[in-house]
Amino acid sequence: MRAARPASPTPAIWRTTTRAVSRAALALCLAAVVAAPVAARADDPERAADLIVRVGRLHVGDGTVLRGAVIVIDEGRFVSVAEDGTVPPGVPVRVFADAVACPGFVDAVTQIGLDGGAAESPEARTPDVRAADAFDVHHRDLRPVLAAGVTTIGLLPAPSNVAAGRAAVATLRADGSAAVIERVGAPVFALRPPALRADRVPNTIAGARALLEAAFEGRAWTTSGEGAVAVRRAALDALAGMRDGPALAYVSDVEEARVAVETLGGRGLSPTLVGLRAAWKDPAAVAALGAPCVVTDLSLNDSEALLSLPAELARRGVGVSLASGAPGRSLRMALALAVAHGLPAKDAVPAVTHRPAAVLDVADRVGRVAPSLRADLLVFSGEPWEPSSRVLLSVVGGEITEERP
Amino acid sequence: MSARTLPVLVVLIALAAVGVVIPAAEARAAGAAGGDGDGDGAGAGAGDGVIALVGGEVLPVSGAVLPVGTVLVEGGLITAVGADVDVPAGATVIDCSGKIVTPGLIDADSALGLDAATLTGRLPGADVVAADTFDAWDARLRTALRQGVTTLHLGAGRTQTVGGLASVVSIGRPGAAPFVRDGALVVNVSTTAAASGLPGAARVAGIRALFIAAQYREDGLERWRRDLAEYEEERLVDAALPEERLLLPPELLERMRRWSPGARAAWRVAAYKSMGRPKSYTKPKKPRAAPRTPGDDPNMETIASVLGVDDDDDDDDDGVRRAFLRAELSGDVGAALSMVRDFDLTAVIAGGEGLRARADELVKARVGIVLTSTGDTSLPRTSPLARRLPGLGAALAAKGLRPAIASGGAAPARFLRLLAAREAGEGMSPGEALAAVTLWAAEAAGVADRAGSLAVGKRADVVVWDGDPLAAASRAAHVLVAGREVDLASR
Repeated sequence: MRAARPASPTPAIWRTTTRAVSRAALALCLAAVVAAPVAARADDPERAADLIVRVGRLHVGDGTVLRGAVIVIDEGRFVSVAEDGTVPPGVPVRVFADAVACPGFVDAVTQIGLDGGAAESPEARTPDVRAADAFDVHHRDLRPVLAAGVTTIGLLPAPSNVAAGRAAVATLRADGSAAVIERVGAPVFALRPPALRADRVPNTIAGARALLEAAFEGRAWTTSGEGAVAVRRAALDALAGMRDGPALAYVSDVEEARVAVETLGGRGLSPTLVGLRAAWKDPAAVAALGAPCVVTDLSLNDSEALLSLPAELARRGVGVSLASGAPGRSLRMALALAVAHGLPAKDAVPAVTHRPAAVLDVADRVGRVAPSLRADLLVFSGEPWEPSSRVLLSVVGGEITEERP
Repeated sequence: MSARTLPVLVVLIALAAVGVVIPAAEARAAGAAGGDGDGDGAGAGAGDGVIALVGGEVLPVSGAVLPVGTVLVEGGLITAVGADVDVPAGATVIDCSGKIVTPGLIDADSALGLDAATLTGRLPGADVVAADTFDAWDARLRTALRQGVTTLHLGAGRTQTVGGLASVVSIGRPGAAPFVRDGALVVNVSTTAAASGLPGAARVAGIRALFIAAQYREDGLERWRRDLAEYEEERLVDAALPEERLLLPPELLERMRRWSPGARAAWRVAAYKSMGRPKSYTKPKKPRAAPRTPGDDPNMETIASVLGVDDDDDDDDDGVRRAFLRAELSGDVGAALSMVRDFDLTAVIAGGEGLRARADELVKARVGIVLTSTGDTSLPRTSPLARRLPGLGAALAAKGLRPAIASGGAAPARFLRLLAAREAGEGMSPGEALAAVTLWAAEAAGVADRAGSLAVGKRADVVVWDGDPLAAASRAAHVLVAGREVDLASR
């Protein structure tokens, strides 16, 4: 279980109550959809919900689509979501009859706001490096990211070291700043250059495997002779302490992906493959590994074969996410390119919402339009994956940041 | 009208009369032989030579949308567009029901198929013609075609101050002559994209100096030589005499008096440099080598030819005076606009965010606009080129400008429709976004009389889409280039 919940001004007992009530509200929705918004208000008769939105269609985020959805938002969270919901008269509601809504985008692999601070180290094992420690919550790059519909970002240490460190997760706020919601996230490994490079050990994929296996067993791994690396005790302990849970592995080709799954999976970790930009040659082999995949850095400059990779993986049943990766890349354009190259509509929204949230192990907090999750909502004039769709309403943590009637 | 121009007119009219007959006859002959003509109009498809695109929703761009319409193509040209057009017997019919018919897309500033040397050569490279270095077998051209792009305005060099002549080429017809070979003169005013090593103002001054030198190449350079010979003597006579008084025609001097001292100084650096003088201008010495004559300098030759400077004595301008000016920052756009005014150019200004601040001036100057900042680049974040705020296309269109949306690169040219779609998502209407990659792009490329919309007499570059052309999931079902269907399956 996670130790730290996101900071909340309300006492724990009240949250528990709210959750129970919203569960009751969900039950009510299923029984009698009309009652849903009313139920949401019923637990606190003194005031109405902060925001009620009705849209033509809602991509929940996990692949399901609700028609005529009524979404109730209160205290920064989704309270209820109901299909074909009607709103009782007298309740102020924003209606976007022909519009399509989806959760705020989750960009699982970024280095936004890190400015290289979590990157270099002479050592191959820096598992105690935490991306969150280098993160500037007021970085100027956050605002354009928010404007592009991204409301949650995964912060990964750069792939400079085999055991690269710990990921962090931050949510964006309406004022353009960010809040770290997961300071010590999944461990991140890099089984590709630049972590593997000629001027230090290990410099091969086999060496990286040996290093990780030794480290997991608590042994100091050295090569013979002058290549020996001094290993900090804390780093070794951190690796030896990893028993299970999610892990992220930067890989580019199929061979690196296979070693990542075997090595990390053999330890009991559940690796997600990140990058995969050289894996387009054999999508079937990647799919056969059975690990979730995050394809990063897709841009207008990429080959058709690479742009088809998300579709090829999805076709073979892999849970594919998309992420922007390098600074300056647009997640929305990456999504459009993937759809243009065959990514099915049913996979498109999950690839930038629920699935990356699951990769970052925060699927219970963001990435879907569902009760008790953070209220990050985008309402578009058309499908969210179409670049031609305009943002009609943008809600971040329950606050409206953009509205075009 | 002078007595001198009258006989010329008579000859022109006679030529025009003949010209009407000959191309038509040629087109027929080429059609009958099934032979591959040049890039322009000749050559019909197999069979009877008439292709009928029937039953689709037609978006002609230059006219009203036809919910169900027919487009007829013959001899490489569009011969009919309408709701009730009779399909002649024997025509090859392409069923477009449930599909959308648009003109082929045009990338108004593309580098697709150009080699790196052309794009990033030394400065200046005015004597380069883009079409001469175009690789018609570049594999990415196939993808572009599949994404509905049929025409590229190749913007030649991107880092030289003067980047050569732009060309317009068709995709899908390797071996065919370019649509337009000698197009606009490409001038990279933008101080950030260039490898000139000169700072902003001096760089702009250098470009101006080149233009001025070309414009006054006969007497200007003659005077330059004479004045240089007299320089030492003159300097003794009047030490405070500004150097440019020795070099330039009086009307330009008059204009330069209004410049700030800093601008004049910068101009002087660049002028001296560009005319083959030693770098130092503060203490100019009598040159040891004679300055280059314009005939020796291909750059000067090209600029002079574009500016229409000719050797005869009359005052007419024989050149087309077409220029394609790349200007990213608003300061660069201002410099480009002043060049347009001072040299009387028919100009297109290509850029990004810097255009927004100058929109009113652009309207007044009647220049064409091309948006090239894709905003999805791997440029450093600190680069002003990477800074692009949403809604630029919509903002310019709202001012009454007709901005073309262009890739500004090689690989992104393939996905021109997604770039247009993004502008639609940021506020352009879908109709404007489509025009920005068809008719408005044709205007920017200088071929709007022959391409860019589905209109009778224009070249038959037509795309049949299985959905909204701006939607990511849509695909081109049929692509016609110059009236000939392209096989989209082959790679």
